[in-house]
Amino acid sequence: MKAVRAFLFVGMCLASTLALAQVKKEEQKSDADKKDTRVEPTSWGPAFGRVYDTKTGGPVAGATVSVETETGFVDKGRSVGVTDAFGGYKAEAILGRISSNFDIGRALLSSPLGLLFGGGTNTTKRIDVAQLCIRVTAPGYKPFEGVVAARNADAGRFRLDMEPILLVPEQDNGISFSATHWSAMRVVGVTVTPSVAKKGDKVKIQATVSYFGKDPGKNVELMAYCGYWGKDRKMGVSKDKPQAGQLLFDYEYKVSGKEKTKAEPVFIWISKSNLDWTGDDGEHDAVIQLSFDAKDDGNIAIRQEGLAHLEAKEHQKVVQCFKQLGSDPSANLFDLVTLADSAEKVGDYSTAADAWKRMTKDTAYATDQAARVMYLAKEYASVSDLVKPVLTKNKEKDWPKKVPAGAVGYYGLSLLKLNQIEDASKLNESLLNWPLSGLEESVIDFRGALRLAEVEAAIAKEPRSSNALADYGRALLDLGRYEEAISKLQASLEVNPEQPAVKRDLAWAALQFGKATTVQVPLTTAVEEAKAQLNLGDKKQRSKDFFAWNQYAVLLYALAREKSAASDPTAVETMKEAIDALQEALSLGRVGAKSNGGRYNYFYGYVSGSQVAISGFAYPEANASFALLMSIRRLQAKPDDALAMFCQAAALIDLNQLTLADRALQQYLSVRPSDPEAHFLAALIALRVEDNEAAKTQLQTVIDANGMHPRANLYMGHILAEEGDVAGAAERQAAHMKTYGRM
Amino acid sequence: MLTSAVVAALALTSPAFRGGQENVFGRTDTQKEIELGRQGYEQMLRENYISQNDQYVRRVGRIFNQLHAALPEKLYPYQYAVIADNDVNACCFPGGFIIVNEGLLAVMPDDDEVAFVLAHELGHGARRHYMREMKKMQSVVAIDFALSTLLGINTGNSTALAGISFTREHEGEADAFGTELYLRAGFDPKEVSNGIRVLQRLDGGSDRVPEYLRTHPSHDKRIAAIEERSKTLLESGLVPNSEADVKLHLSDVFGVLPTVAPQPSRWNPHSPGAYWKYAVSSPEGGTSTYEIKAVGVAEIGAAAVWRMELIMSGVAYNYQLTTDGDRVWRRNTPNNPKSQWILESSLLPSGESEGSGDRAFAGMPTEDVTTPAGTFTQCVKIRHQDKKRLFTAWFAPGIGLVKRVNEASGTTETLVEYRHP
Repeated sequence: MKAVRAFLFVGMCLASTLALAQVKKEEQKSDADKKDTRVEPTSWGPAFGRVYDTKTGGPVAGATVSVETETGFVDKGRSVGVTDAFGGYKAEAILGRISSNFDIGRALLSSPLGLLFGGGTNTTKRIDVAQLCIRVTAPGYKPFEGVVAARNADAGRFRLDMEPILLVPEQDNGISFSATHWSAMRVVGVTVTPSVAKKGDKVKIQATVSYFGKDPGKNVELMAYCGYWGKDRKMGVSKDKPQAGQLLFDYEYKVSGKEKTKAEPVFIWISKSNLDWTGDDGEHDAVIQLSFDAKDDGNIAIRQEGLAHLEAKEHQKVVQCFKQLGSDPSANLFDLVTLADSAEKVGDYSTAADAWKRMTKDTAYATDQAARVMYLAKEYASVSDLVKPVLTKNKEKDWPKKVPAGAVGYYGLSLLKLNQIEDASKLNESLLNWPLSGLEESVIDFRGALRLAEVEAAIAKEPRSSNALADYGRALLDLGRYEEAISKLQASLEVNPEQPAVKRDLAWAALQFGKATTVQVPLTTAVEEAKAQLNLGDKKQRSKDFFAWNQYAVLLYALAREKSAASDPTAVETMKEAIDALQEALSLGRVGAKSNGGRYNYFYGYVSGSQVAISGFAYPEANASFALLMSIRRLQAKPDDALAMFCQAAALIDLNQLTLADRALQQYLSVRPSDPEAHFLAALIALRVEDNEAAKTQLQTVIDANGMHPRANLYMGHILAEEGDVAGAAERQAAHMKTYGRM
Repeated sequence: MLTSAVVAALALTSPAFRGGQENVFGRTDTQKEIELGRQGYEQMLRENYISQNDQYVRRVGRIFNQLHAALPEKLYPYQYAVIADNDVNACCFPGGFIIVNEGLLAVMPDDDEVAFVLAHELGHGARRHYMREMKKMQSVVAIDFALSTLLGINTGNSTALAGISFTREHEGEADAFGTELYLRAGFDPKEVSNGIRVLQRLDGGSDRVPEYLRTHPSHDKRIAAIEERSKTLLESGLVPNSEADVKLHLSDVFGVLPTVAPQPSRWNPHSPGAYWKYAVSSPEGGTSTYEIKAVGVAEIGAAAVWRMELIMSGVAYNYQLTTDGDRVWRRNTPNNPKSQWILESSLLPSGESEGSGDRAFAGMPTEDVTTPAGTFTQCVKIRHQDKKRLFTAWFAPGIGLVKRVNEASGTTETLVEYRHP
C-alpha cells in the first residue's frame, strides 16, 4: 500500500512539474510584459491564403508574401511565406493570445498518466485580429501592399484564413488588390443523361466546374442532392475529358421503378477545393425525368417543351404545356408544382389554386399554397372553406398535424377582409398551437393586419381617445408606415400632451426623417456625460457595459486628438486614459467562448487539457475599437507607418468619428495619393455625411483604377438605387456580378 | 469519515461541481455574469429561430429603448432579441440579455402590457437575481453534498424547493423594480398591471397551480402588489423621464409637395400591399432582379403620399410617391429633409411632350408588350430623357411599368411578377 502511495505521490509531482513547465513554455512564447494581455495580441499563429493573377484568374506560384510585424515588413522569417503551385501561402503573424494554467481541481480528477498528457491544464486560445497588413511581390507582377481581411478565424486551431489577393501583370493597367469574396472555382453547368430515364436505366448527372490557371487535380469535392436519393452525395471525378479550364464530375443514379414522382430537380455545389470558392455561389440544378410507360413518353415531349419555355421565362407558354400534363388525373407532382408556379406568375390564380388543391392529399405544403393563391385571387370565402372545416372537425392539439400554419395565416387575413375581426382575434391566439407559426409570411402579415384592424376599430369607436390614437400610431410605426404614424401620434398628443412614452415614439419617428432631438454638446461635456455612465467611484458597482466604455473611450480619444492639435500639454495624459478605456471596453466586448472540457476516462481521469477558444469580439464596434487601438500602438512605435494610418482611418469611420477619420485619411493620401482603397474610404466618409455627389466621384475614381474592386460597384449601385436611378443601379450590380458571380 | 469529508471538500472545488463554468460560484464580479449571460443568450439564439417579423422586432426595440433610457444605472450591455417561438414568455439572462418570445407579443397588442413584462425582466437583470440564486444554490449544493457524503442522506428535494422559494422572492423584487421602471419610462400608470392581467386570462382566469409550487406569486397577489407600489411611487412624487416636445411640420415629413391636383394614377396603382418584381438584363450578359412594394399611404388634405420600398440585392430603399393621375412624382431618401420631389414619369398621349433638357418625356403610340408576367395590351409608351440617358418605357393600365429599355446601354428591365391587393 505504501508503495502505491509513494508511486502516486512521485507520479503527481512529476506530472505537476511537467504541466507547469508546459505553462511556462507557453508564457515564454508571448511578449506579455509590454502589453495589456487581456486585450492585446501576443502569440503567433499561421495565416493561410492564396494569390491569383487578375488577367487569367489563375494562381500565382512563387510569390513572396510578407505579413507586417511590429517592426514592419521583413524579407525572411516566420512572417514571410512563398506561394505554392496553387497560389497558397502560409505566413505567421501575431493573431491573439494562447495561455495555459495548471488546474488543481482537474489534477485531482486525473491520474499521473493523464497528467502526463496534459489532463491538468486549462488552455485559452483567443484570436483578436480580423485583418492583416500584407505585402506580396512576384516577378512579372505589380506588387500588392495593403490590408487583407480574414475570411475565417479559427481560435481552436489558432489560424486565420485570408481573403484572396489578385496581382496585376506588370504590362497591364490596374492595381493589385485584395478581392474579398472572389472565388477561383465555380460550378457552371449541370447535365442529366438520358434526359428521360426508364426503370433500370442509369441516370448520369454531370457537373462542370470552371477554374482559373493550373488544374487543381483531385483536391476538389462536389456534392449532389435529389429527392430520389434523399441525401447529400459526393460526386466522383468524371472519366470524360473536360475542356481546358474545366473539371467534370459525375454521379450515377439507377432508376428502381419504385420512384413515386416522375420528375425531380437535382442540386449541385462545391464542398471542398484547393482554390478559393464560396459555399453559396455556383449552386446549380437540373431535372431528372422518369418514364415508366407509353403515356409517360407522350407527356415527356410536352414537359420538355414546357421546361424550354420555363428556361426562357415564357410563363404563359409554360402554363399551356403543363396544363396539358395536369389534365391527366394522375398528374405528376413536379408538373403540378410547375403549373401552379407559372400560372401564379402570369396572374392566373384560379389555375394555380386548382393545381395546388389537387396536391393537398400528397403534401401539407399544397394546402398552404392553395390558401395563398386563393387569397391572392381575393377568394376569401374559399380560403375559409378550405381551412375552417379542418379546425372545426379536429381537436386543438391536432391542428398542427392537420393544416399548416401558413394556410391558417391566410385564413386569418381572409377573415379580416371579410370584416370578421373578432374571429380573427380568436384565431390569432389559436395560432400559438403551431410552435413555429411566426415564421410563416402569412402569419406575420396576419398579425400586422390584425393589430391594425383592431386599432382602427378602436378609433372608430372613440375617435378622440388619446390611447386609441397612440396605439394606432404605434401600430403604423411598427409596420414602417412612418408618415401615417406621425399624424396619429401628433393627434394623440394634441388630446393629451402628458404622455412621455408617446412623445418618445414621436421622436423616434422623427428620426426617420432626419429630425434628431439630441443637442450637440462640447466634447469635454460629452466625455463627462459618458464617464458618468460608467458608475465609477467608491462603493459603486462599476459598469461592465461594453457600449458605455467604448463610447467613453472613443470620445476620450477624440478629445486627446483635439488637445494635441491645440498643442495642449495634457493631450498625452488624455491619450493614455483613452487607451486604458479602450482596453477596458475591449475586455468587455469578447465573444462567447467555445469550451472543450477535455477527454475524461474512467480509469485515468482527465487525459487531455481543457480548451477555451475565443474568436474575435461580440460587437462590430469592438472590432473597430480593436483596430483603432492597434493603429495607435503602431503609430506610437512608427509614426510614418502608412498602413497604420489607413487602418486608423477605416476604424474611425466605423466608429463614426468622421472628422478624425478624414484627417487620418488625408495623411495616408499624402503618402499614397493614388491608392483606390483610400478613395473608397473617402467615398464612405462622403456617404456618412450624405454627400452623394462626392461619394459618387470617389467611387468612380476607384472603379476607373480597379474595375474589379470588391465593393465599389455595389456601393455605387446602392447610391443610384437610393436616388431612384434603378436602371443605373442594376447596371452596377451586373458589373459586380461579372467579376464575383454573385451579389 | 474524515477521508470522505476531505474528498467532499476537494470535490467542491473541482470543475465538475462548478457546473462547467469557471469561477461562476467563486466570484461575484459582473463581468463573469455578462460572460455567462451572453453564452446562455447566444446558445438560446442558436437553438431557436430568430424572429422574421419586422413589426415585432421594431416594436420590442421601441419599448426596450424607452425602458433602457429610464434605467437608473447601466451596469450591463443590455441587449434584446425576439425569437419565433409561440410560448407566451420572455426571459432575462445574467448581464441583461433579454429574449422575447413572439407568443408574448401576439397576445399583448398594447405596448403598456409588453412594457411591464420587459421592465420586469430588466429587473431580474439589474437586481442580479441569477447570480444571487446561483450563490444560494451553491451553499445548498455544498450542504446537500456534504450531508450525503457524511451521513448517507438523500437531501436532493431540499435543493429544488429552495430554488423555487428563491425564485418567488426574486419575482416580487422584479415586479417592484419593473413597476418603477415602467412609470419612469412614462408608460400609462392606469395600465401598469394589464400585462399580468393578460397572463391571468390565458391561465383561464384562475391560479390553478397551488401557490407554494409556483415560481411566480399568484396573479391576484401580483396585480395588487404592483398597483399598490405604483400608487405609492406616484404619491411620493415620481416623475417620468422628460422628453422634449418634437416639432414636426408637414414639410419635415413630406418636403415641399408638388403643386398639382393630386389624384390616383390611372396607370400606376399604388395601394398599400401592391408589389412588382422586375428582371434586369444587360447586353454583356449581366442579370439581376429588384422588387418594389407600396408600404403605406398618408392622406394630406386632398393629396395622398405613398411610402414605397425598393428592394435591391437584399437592401430596402424607401421613397415617397404622389400622382396627379398621369404624372408620378417621387421623393427619394425621405430621411433627408433637403430631398426634393422629382417628376418620375409623365404618361402622355402620343405626340405630346413635357419637360426639357435633363428631364423630358414624350408620348409615343400605344403598343402591346409581352413579359414573363404576361401580355399587356394598349400600353402607354414614352420616351424619357434622364440626364444624359434616354429610356423607352411601357406602362400597362392598372398594372404600372411593364418594361423599360436604356437606349444607350441596352439594359432592359421587364416585369416578371406583380400583385395588387
